[in-house]
Amino acid sequence: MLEALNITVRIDSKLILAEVSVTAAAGEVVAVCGPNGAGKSTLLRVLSGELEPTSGQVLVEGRPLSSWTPKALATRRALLHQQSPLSFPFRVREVVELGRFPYTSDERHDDIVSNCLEQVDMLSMASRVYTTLSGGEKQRVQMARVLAQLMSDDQDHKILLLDEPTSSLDLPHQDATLALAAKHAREHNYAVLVVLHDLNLASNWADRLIFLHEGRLAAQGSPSEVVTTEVIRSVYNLDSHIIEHPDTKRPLVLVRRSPSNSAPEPHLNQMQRSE
Amino acid sequence: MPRVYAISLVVGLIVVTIMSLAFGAMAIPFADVVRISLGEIGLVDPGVIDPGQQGVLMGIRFPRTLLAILVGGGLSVAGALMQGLFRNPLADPGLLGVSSGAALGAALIIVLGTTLGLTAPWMLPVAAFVGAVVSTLLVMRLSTVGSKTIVSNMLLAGIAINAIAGAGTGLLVYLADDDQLRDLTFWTLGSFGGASWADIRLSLLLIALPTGLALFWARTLNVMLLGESAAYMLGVSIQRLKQRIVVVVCVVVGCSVALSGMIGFVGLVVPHLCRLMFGPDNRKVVPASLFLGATLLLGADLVSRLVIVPSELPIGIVTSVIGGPFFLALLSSSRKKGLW
Repeated sequence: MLEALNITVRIDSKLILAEVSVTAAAGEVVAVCGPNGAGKSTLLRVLSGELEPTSGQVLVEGRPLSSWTPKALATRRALLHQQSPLSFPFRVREVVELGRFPYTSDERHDDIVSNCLEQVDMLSMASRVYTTLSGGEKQRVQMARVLAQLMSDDQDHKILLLDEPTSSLDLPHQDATLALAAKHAREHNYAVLVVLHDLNLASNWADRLIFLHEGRLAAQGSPSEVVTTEVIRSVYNLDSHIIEHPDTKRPLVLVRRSPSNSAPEPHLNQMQRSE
Repeated sequence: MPRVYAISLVVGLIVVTIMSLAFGAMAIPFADVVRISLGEIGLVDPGVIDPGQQGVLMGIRFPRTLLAILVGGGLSVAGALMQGLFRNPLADPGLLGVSSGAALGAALIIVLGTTLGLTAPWMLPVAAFVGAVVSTLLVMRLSTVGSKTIVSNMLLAGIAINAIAGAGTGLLVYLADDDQLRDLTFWTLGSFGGASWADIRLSLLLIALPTGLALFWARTLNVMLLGESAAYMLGVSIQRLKQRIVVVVCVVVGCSVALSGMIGFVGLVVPHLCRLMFGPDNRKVVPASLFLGATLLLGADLVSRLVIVPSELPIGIVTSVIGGPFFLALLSSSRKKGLW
């Protein structure tokens, strides 16, 4: 269980987050959405303890973040960053092993590492050099590292924070990554909080959506409650159609086209849709 | 293959150590080296020994050899720490301003020592060490905002402090007379010539002890390579680690420079060589740097006193003459493989 109460962040007197409260309960997938600069990544940094909020409090299992030792916290919550600056030629397996840092070494590390690589479909590349991988492959290796960080005998009360985990993935791996996060929520009771730009991915995989707009909480609720033309207009200043996914019955967002702004070229069309 | 490398590192150090004890202006047979050494620590009855050989071995060769080992190992581990901290294989202890601060301290004593009445022989190493510590403290202070030290600021502050200390040294060079200038130049080229047992005791405290501590940080250094933020998520106390690394690097390099002058290149090149042998894992790179650094510097010292017997070449010249081209060759071959 992760709770953030009335988080306000000011940097150089600029208001980045204003009185934002969010929770992610065990077993729940929460998606945080909103335009660029809405404060999503800042919120994630506050939730992970990396950034001290100007005011407000973050509680992990009801205890303030500051009362946790760094190591104990590291076995409970993990954050997948958008990018990793790793530039030394480690093997893929070694990178995932770094996720076992909070634990004393034991012989099961190897199994855990293999298991996590398997989950992101990278086991066959375990001995490749990380720096030679493509962006999407790197992102999946980092996902495996983060999963390895949380794996322990006591699988309760784990918190998984993901910052745009699908940004450089192809379509099947986008879905697979979120399915993986959702699986950990369902089967292992992880509290998952994921920042996503793709509203359709968010709508399909999240139990709850939170919209941030200019540092404030603009809307929150189940996908069918908040993925509406009204919310999309107020948060993104964008006109949209909402249709239903034939399989999941979840709402999907399509950008509305008037004859004047309809894009003649297909690639431009695609670009706007993924925003 | 890494196992072969590891064994050759250990064997290499032992071989070069025995060579260093045996060779020099006065050659001592290997058998006598072993016999006298073991006799000194009371393991065997040495029998009849040549007092001249014993004097050279125990009074000169042993301290000199041990100092080269300690300085070589210490500088190399310090280099590995810096490269981990900066997440950059090109970082070296000089970035913290340690060497330039030490040089300024040494220059002060060499040029102005007589005028200021600071002529005792221990003044020079003490001034060099103080110079190293002061410049590092300044760099640390300038790059810390609130309670966080920002590594990129450290780089910039280091450049500035290096320039200022360099200007001070330059001024002293301008003021120096011919003899002082010669002393200063030789000091910057480095030498293990004057090593004494007192130096060894001091370096056990200020080089061996902190270097030994740093060996335990290798796993944490690996995690740091993921970036500071990711390392924090994994439970690393970033600020404490940074402070510890800076203190160890400053003390180890400060003491090395104070006792043996400026010996460049080792801290940068040795961790590199170890990475080529063992890969980037610091649990291998850091201890390997200890052995390889000790071996290479001891070997360089051996060359420096054998090429122009009975005189000696400054060791800084040897490390650069051999190290420079070797490093270039390595870089061009590893660049083709896409590795560092």
